[in-house]
Amino acid sequence: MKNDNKIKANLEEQFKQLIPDENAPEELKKEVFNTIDTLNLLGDIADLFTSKFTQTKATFLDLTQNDDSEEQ
Amino acid sequence: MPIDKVKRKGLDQLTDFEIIKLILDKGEKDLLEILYDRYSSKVYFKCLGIVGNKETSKDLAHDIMIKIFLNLSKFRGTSEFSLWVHSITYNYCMDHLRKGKRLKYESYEVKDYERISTAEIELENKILSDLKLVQLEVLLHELKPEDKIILMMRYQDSMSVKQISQTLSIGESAVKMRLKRGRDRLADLLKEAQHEE
Repeated sequence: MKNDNKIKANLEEQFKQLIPDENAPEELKKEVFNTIDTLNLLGDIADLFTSKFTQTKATFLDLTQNDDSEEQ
Repeated sequence: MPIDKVKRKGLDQLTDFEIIKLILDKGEKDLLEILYDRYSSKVYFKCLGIVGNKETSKDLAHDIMIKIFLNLSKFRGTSEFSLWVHSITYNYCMDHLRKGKRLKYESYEVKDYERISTAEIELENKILSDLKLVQLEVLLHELKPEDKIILMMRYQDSMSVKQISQTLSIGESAVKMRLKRGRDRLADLLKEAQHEE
């Protein structure tokens, strides 16, 4: 059991030293956040054609109806 | 847009879970950058360790970071965020290797693990207790991805057998068996290398 722990400790020590103390490539950050921006934009566009579009249409129709009633 | 330095200094003190709550509850999407800075290197170098190619690792790390960000609401906070990130990273890399048919798992019976003799374990332990970093760096390139992954989970990320079992969706006995096989193959490669010296 004691020997098992020694092996585990040795393997952990060696494996952990394999992790470099460096940063990921600089361009990766730009690419990730560009994709996030694109996805947010697509989400906003999708919203326009779903709930927000229905809301906008309803508000617009309300407005036109109010205008009509004022004119009468 | 990057977060200004004063705001950033205060936010750096927050835990991952606190950052995630601010993103999800207050809609502070710019805080994704803090999570990115904390985990992108770990994800990228983990991918590089598994697939061994810088360009592919960059593509994988990109997809994994997006996957993490899009699924933040699924993180329950019951385990450490780093463990959740590791699980997504390993599974994504394994899917990539499976698509390229580079990942082949042998099927083991639970009984197989129980049948391993103490002498066999002691021999393997004796060999691995002498393993040095320079040797490991070389041997990992020769190890099959499935062995490399399970050894990295256990010894690089200190994941428990139970955590590995949950990440890979396999039983704990199968994890023990795969770990045993991984260590065996590493010991075999080390023996061969020492023989050649």
